Amino acid sequence: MARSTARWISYDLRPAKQSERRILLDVLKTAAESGLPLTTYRYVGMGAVRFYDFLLVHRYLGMDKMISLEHDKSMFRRSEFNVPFSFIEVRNRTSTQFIEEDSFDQSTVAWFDYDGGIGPHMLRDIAAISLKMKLGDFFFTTVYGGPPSAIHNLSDTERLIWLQETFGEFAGEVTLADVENSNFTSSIHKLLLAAIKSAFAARTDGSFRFLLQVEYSDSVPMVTVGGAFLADGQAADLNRRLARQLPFLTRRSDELYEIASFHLTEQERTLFDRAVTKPGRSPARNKLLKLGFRDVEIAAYRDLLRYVPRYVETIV
Amino acid sequence: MAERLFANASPEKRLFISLLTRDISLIAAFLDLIDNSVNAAVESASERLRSAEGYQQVFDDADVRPSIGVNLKLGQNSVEIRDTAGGISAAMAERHVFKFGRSDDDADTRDRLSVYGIGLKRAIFKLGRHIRIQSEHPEGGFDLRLDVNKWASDTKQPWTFPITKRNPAPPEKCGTRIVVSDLYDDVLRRIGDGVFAGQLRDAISRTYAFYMAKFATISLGETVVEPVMIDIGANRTSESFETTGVSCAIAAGIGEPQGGLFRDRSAGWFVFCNGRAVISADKTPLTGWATPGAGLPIFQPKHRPFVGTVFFVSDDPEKLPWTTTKAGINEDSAVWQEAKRHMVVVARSVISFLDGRYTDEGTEVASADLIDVGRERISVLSSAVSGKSSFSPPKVVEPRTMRIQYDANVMDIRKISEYLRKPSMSGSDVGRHTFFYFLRNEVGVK
Repeated sequence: MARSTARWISYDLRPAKQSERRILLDVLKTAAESGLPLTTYRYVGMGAVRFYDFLLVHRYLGMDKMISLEHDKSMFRRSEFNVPFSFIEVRNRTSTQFIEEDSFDQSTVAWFDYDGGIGPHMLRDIAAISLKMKLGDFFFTTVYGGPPSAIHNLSDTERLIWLQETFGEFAGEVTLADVENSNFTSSIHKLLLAAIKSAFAARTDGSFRFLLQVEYSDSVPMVTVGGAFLADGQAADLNRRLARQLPFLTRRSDELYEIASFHLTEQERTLFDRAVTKPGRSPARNKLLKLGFRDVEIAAYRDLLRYVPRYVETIV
Repeated sequence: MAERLFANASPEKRLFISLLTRDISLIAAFLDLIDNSVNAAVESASERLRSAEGYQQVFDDADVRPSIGVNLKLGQNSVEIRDTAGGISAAMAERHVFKFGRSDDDADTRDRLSVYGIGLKRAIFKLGRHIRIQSEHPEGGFDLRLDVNKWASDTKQPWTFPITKRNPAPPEKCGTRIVVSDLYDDVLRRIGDGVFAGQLRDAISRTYAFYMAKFATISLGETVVEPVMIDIGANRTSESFETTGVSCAIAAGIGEPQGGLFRDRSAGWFVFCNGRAVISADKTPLTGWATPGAGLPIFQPKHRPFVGTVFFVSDDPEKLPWTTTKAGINEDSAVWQEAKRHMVVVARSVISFLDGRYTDEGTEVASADLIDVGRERISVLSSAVSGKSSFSPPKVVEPRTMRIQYDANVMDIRKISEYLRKPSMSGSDVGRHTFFYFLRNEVGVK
């Protein structure tokens, strides 16, 4: 089992990750607006020692039943110490143990934000949770988007064979082009899609609707795929709302949306804000082009305007 | 005199459809649809495909190249297969194509993959409730629109499908398009289960490798399916026999490693009927594995380099030992029973060599050396036509070293290491020291 990245990465400075959290939050808010009583749901996540997702989920959605899973024994002690709200229950369990032991009687939003590279145990988690989720439940999973260490130095052909041997039929759609370093997130995405579709295909009481398929990179590539298990009527309404409110997420149904990282000064950011909130050409856009920014960056910023975090330095 | 009556024994359509479609997998149903297109594609070369040698000659003939396209599309609530294989005339459709089963009159001597005359109907009935077939043919094709539920509830005899004739079409526009919509829920779920498309692509690439190389380009969605040819090392055992209009060539040898490894999915028996793979990488009792007594042992990872091929050919496809779904073997057929006996004999020397690589000392032949043992790669077809041969295991080289291993009392080992004033010596170092001491001082070897 991989050790928690919270040991060595400062969570305070992961803007793409923070954008992802905010987008996920908006997806859940949209679901709440479509009639799902999200405030009564419980949230199951992997809060580590910062609990950022827990803080956002409580503040913006009002959920107050929360479970944080921490498999690492020493991190578990720190996690309990750092828990921000008393209603967050930290459990020293793996996701596999949690799924096996929990009855899923309560409506659930589960986000398994794994630290490590993809492995068969993650796909087994997906298969196991698919048997327990109720109509209206949400499930998201995040995994490292690069090649696992076991195949890092192998040729593309050997990587593909390794994926086929390790993940069997879930790797059926992965191609040689997908296993190149620059494109490996595509392999991970295809594996997760196949695992989720396959896991939920046997459920006849509803269907799994993909609501979030994104990749991002603060230091290493990460992939998040997830959605909700819904009845047909629920799904149609939610899809309509999402297409209106987060159009960039639903533009391409089976493709990953890349959450861009922006490294901007405050002044540049102000220009971006103005440029993307005025249709067509504007002095702000022209200025950005003169500064060397490209239209594709302006378009990406337009998608993420509401989600890109702003960090300021304070001197204590 | 007793009155003679005629009890009604006519079939009920719903039961008939249910029986017909229940025992075929969805993958096999799609392959059945492809069979129709491929069968039409090989008509012009069918005279040459009457023996394993004929298949080999066609395979080696550079002038024979894929000339038709077959495209499969899996949609949200429909599936479509479209080919450019010349189309079906209205006359053929009226008299033969939609008959359930084949009479002697219906049999076409050019058929190589069409056997029982049920594949197309079974496949479309398996998929959904609305069927549209449109075929363009130089003599005039046809249109069919069929509402399966409506058709099933119609009790009129004899059974017919309503078709309308189309105008003659120029050769370049000839071909057939089948669309099945209003798919059954099970079909919809399976198609959308995230793994089906990959499984179908894999099945197509293995099943039609020969036909894709020479006759038809098959694509799934926008992607062309690449054939997976099965090659075998030239160092192999092979035998052939003929019986009741069927020729059979069997070979067993060392397969081809992929990415430096012999893979499970490429190991076992591969059985072909008229060039179409019927079973792939089989390691079950069906092909003689795990059969106590005179059969083969239980397949284990050490057997992964094993590849066996069985190539049946007949110009009467009904004589071949495949099941009606062409996804399995009719185990009771005499030709299969005979083939199975040969398979065990042919496989024996290769398996015994692979078993012998593993001794108490570990693997005696490194995996890389197995490629040399197999020698150059040859195709299944080359193997099928090249006559009898025997697998030659490599000569065992007498080992220059031998491992000595024994248990000794820990206190005694410590006594020796302390005597030698090297208390940190390991057990194996003590063993090595005492061995060389005896060799030098007692035997006198310098």
